[in-house]
Amino acid sequence: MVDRKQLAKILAYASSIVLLLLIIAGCAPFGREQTVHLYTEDSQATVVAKMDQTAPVYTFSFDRRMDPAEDVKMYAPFLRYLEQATGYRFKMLPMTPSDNIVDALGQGRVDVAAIGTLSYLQAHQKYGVRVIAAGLTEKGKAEYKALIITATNSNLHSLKDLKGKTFAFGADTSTQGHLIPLIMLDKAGIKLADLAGYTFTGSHFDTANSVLSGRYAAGGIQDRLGRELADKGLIRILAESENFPSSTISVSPALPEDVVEKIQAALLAFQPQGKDKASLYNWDQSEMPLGFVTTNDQAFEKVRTWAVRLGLLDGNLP
Amino acid sequence: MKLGRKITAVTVATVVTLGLLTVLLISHVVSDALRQSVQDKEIALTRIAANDLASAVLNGNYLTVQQEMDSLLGDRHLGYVFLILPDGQVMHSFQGNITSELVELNRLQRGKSYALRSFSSDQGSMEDVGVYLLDGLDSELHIGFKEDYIQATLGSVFKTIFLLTGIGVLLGSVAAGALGKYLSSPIEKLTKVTREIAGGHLDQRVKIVVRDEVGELAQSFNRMVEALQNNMADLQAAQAEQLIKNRELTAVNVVAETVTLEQDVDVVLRDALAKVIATLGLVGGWISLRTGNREEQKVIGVDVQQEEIPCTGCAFCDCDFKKLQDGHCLSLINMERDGKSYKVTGVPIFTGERVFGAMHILSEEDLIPSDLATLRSIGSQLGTLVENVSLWSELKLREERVSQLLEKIMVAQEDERKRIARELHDETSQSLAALAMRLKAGQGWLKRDLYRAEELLEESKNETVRIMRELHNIIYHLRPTLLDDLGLVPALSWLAESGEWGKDVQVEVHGEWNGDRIGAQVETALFRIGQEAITNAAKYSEATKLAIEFNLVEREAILQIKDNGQGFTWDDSVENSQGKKPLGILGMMERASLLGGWVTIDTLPGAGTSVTATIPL
Repeated sequence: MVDRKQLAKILAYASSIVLLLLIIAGCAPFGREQTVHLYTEDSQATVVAKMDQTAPVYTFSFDRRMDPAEDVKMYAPFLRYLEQATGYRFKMLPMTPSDNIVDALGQGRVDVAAIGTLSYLQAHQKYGVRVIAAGLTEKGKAEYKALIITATNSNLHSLKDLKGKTFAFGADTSTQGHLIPLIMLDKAGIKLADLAGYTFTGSHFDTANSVLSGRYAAGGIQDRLGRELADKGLIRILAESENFPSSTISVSPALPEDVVEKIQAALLAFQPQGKDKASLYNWDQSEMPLGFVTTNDQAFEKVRTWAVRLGLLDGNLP
Repeated sequence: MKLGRKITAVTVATVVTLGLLTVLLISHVVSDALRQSVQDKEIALTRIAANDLASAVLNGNYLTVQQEMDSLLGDRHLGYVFLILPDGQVMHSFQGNITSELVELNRLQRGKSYALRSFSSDQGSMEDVGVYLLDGLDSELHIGFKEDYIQATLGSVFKTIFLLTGIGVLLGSVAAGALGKYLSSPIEKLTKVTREIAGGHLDQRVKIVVRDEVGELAQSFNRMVEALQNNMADLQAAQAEQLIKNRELTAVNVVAETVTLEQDVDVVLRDALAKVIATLGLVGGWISLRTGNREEQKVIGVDVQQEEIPCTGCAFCDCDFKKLQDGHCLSLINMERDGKSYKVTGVPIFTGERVFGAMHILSEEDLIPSDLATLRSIGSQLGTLVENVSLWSELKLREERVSQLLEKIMVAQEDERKRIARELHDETSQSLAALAMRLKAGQGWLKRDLYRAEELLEESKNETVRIMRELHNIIYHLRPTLLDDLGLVPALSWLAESGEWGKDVQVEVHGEWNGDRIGAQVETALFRIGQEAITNAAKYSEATKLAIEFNLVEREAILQIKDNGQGFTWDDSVENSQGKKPLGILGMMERASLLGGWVTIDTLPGAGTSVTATIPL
């Protein structure tokens, strides 16, 4: 006959093993949910993913400047700053080459946009888009320049040498990639017709690639990127423009005033070289490396005149 | 259950349990690790794909995007790819159309960089991995990874683990059995030896040489058994000693019980010897006892025939007695009896320095020292017994003598009174009556014839003198004043000369007595002894010479009364009808004995009699 103490020991031993097995078994997933159907044969039906509609979401977009993916990476932490500062939620809506940010902003598909002068002028003229801040460039001013670059081994020495040459612009809505280079060419007495050909690459990166690869003899480009490439010996600066108002943060005319004010306050409080620097990605390569200042439409009169003169703007206000 | 089996059972149970747990734990850990690793790779792959697709998407090159998504499916581990664009449009890799169910199955949560979801699909087990196309962009890329190959890999791993663990458990069980045997073997040995020792085999020892706790236990156990064995030996020795002592005490006790002083010493010794032989389990024995004469001995045998006793006729050898007195027992000889050889051991029967004889014991083997000691004690006890019996007999004899003496004294006193009365009546009284009559006659004649009266008075005076002499003799016989006045020798000399001898006797006095007085008691005793001797000589010896010799030699007073009479033979005729000595002689001896002395009588028919009394001073 088994002793009672021995029986208790055996029971304790067995219980502990069972308990251990249960614990181990508890760590493993129990079963699976029902079978999910991956696809249907009905190719006509349109499937749209549900987007989060639970909170007010403001869309943000930007002028394509460089590589779009890099642009997204650069603006993503900036948007998080805005969300934190305003309490609003922002959704990034990059523009494809087929999209027009002017229309998107004017029609309310985009609420806030980081756009260059030309885009602003067009949007303001066409839809009454408002500018609420201008980017501070390296010198602490809301101004920037454009450069006309050529390959290091190019035989071009002045803008006048561009006659009969090919030329690459950035996006057609870009100020530094299109408007200012046009102004510089115009000042040098070169019309588009004097060129052997020209193209809109869509971004400063692509312009630089076009010139570097020799596909185009010269190109108009953002001054900071141009100098960086020149310092590395990749390109040569052919000409430098005068100062023009730098990029803007513009808002859709439909955006409520209180929201605009809150966003503007957040922009003015933005310190990309100070407390907010750590969370940013390549912000130095943006057109507002030192943050923002307030601005208004009058600051764009001079450039608007040039735009009208160059046919990029019809000059008729809505 | 035996210890070895217990150890084996517990160890096997532990090994099996641990093996089971190990399998489960390792399976769980490996599964988790593999799944985690696979998931990490899936997430990384999805991110790379997202990165590759990002530019094309942002540039609106949807055809490129579609092609790249389709090309991803070249990997056999991928089940599908779909992309949710920022505006909610969905691009996918399916031939037909994607289901909303799949699109919404694993949507990314805001703030999370990826989403994972395992699920069962109509294409098998899948894991959906979703990442943002770009950080901050509401565009999600989802890739469905087939889990079948993961399951297959895990299954293979589990099989391997089970197999290895099974082998491990098997080997562990074999090792457990060996361990149980190894650990329990010395303990089994110990147990076996313990049983042997419990059965009384104290000479058993544990032979374990391992240098561990069991080895130390075995050594301690051996030491304990050693001590136990020693203690048992001591105990047995003490018990044996106790038994021997008991035997000795019993033997001594039975001897003591036999002591009855009233019995004859021979009877007592025979009884004692018989009991000693019975108590000590001996074969037989005999006692050789000295009699009064040193050259003679009395032999008392028990279970031994008189003729069997060797050296029966031999005198005790003083040398042997010396050895016996020194405590050496003598195994004198080997005695053959009924074709069997026996040992004969002798011990002295003694008390103090006096040896009365020897006790000889027959045994089949040499006696052990303790038995020898016992026999020696019994010898001493028997010696005391012999002495006591002897003293008792002597005491009894003396009592008888005192009784006889008292009787004699009473008779003597009565005779003396009768004699005095007779003499007073027959002589003194008659003389006084005659004197009275003569005085009365003289008184009558006084007035008539003065001469006659004077003559009568003269006769009366002579008569009175004669009466006075008679009275003087009577008084002198009662106690001569010469003894008080002149001493022993003159008093005896007067006594001899005034005795009523049948013939004329010539009394001679010898000795070197210078006239010094000795003690009154000794003097009176010697006077009365001498008076008895002289009286006897006067009555019976018909002697013509009587010599009285008195000497003081080395603090002894020696009186000898010697006559030249007819003497006598000391035989039964001398003693009276009760076998007792004549009261006169008895009285002499008793008087001497009371003062520590003795009386010897030397006589032969025709050679006179010499009575010598010696009394120490």
